[in-house]
Amino acid sequence: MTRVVITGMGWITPLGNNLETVWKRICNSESAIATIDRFDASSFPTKFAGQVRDFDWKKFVNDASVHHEPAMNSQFALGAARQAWEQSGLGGYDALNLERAGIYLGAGEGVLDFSAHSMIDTHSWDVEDGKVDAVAWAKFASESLDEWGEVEQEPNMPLWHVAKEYGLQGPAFNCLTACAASTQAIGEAVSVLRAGDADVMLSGGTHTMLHALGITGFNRLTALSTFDGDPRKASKPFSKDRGGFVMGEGSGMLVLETLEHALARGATPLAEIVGFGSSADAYRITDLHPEGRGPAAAIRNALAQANIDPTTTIEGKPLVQYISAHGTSTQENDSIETKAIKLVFGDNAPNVPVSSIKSMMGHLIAAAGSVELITCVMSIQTGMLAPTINLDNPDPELDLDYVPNVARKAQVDCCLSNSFGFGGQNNTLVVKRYKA
Amino acid sequence: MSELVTPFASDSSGTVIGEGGGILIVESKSSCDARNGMPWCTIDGIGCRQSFTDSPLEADPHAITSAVRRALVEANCDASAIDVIVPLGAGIPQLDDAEREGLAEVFGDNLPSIPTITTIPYTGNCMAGNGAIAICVAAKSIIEQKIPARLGGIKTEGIRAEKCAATEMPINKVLVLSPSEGGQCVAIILGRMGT
Repeated sequence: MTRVVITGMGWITPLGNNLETVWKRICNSESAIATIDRFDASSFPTKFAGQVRDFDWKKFVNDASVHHEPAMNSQFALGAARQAWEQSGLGGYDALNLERAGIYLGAGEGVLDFSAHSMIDTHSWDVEDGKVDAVAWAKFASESLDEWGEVEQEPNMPLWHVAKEYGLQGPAFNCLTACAASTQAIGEAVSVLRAGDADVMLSGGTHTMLHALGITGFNRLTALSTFDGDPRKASKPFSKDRGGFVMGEGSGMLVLETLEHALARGATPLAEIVGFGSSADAYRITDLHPEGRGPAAAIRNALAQANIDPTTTIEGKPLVQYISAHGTSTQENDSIETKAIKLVFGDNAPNVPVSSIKSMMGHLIAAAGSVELITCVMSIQTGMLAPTINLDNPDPELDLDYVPNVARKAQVDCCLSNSFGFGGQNNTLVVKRYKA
Repeated sequence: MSELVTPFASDSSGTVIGEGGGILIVESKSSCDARNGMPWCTIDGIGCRQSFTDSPLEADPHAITSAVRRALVEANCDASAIDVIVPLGAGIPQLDDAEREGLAEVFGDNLPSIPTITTIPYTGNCMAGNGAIAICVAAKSIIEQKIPARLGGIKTEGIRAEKCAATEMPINKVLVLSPSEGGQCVAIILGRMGT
């Protein structure tokens, strides 16, 4: 089978806008969760989130004018892609065949043009009839809607911006499978490379739902934390008193390439992707199957592709040394994910460290998977495990090693990264230390 | 109203929004055989390319050509094997022109002789659902060995997309093309079972 390696990575996250800063803050157990200041959320049930700050997308592109007015999800994508591209060395590699360089994103929708729609509704409201005047609505909309605002709502627009920035003309895909999207994108990008359809794939995710309707929607679903206290303590995966997830935003991008292509151009592989597994719960829209069958199947499928037996050990050590959990901090996810890990790893489960960086940066929705896969690679490279912070009140029902509160030194050669989405999509990647 | 959308006609004035989609069951041949399933057609080749244009709203003939060529390679056939083409045929002059130019690069002087199936004049432009609808129609055409009647313009330059009645004909391979806003372009070749 064609080997696929990671040669570049980029992070735009609530914890910072480059690999070094974000990893340092993760290992220092810092939280980026703070009061929302992008809009007035003071009267909302949830007033805090993981917000990207101090970020100027124009610093990450060659010529900002070609991008018109990118939506925030596209801005994040451009920022993370630039870092990945530069780290991979492709920026100075003139021999790259751009028709064999593709892109596969798990990008969420752009921010809907709420302001324009609200303004048009208000202006065309017929007070006497108590409803919108359709004729006035159409006239005012055609005069005032911004065509670029409409285009940027489409979830495939980050793809266009990134492809345009680097001239990528090969296979081009975007999927939007909720919180599992960017893990799926990376898994399928690996398949594109293995099929021989490309030499290089830029892959990852980008998303922001940090707006009034996004927060309200998840509040209505009772999925968001309404923690009343220091926002930094709000996201507490695997705690007994966990009360829902905290909204985050951002992007994680990776340059994937065939090992042959990477070595031929003298690139340094950062890690190798050896397995991808996917499954559907075929259960309820916003609930995982109570027995964890969907997540367990995704993990099993990924390990099978990687040819790894989760129940065996070598010199007393499991073959997987770290799991980056989906770990949302909802009662349901953390309980069922724990159950799924136990189902797959059996007696080895307590010996495999599991942690959730959502405790520090919140849930980046479609971007979560790619951002968390980078965490796995950083663990392999630095020999440090990211902690699960705010784990001061452990749930007695959840009895795995969640790397509580403090980062830990560890020899890590093989990691899993889990992503599960509303709608029942479950995706898992397996990444290993690169060995020639 | 049936003549509102006239793909590839010189006086085409734009597209019409539709809605809907198609769902297909794609199955390995061995699985289908094992359960005595009735396959409609084979998926022989897929090509996907990204446009490189100054605007996400522009279509790129080069990307269309490249996607079709990749699909032909995967299908292990040359352009002369294609019996029918299902273009997007949105009726938007700029997109139609790009499709015609991209296809002409592959099919050369033969393009005006290859019948097309255009679905948008029937259903409107169903956006993300459009490609699946096009593939369903293409598969049905292979099964029935007949292309459906075409709605559209009286005359189309350089491509056979003018209004016509349903036509029975031998159909072994159909090319389905889906270029999109944002520059993604997918070409899929369907084949008749047993050919």
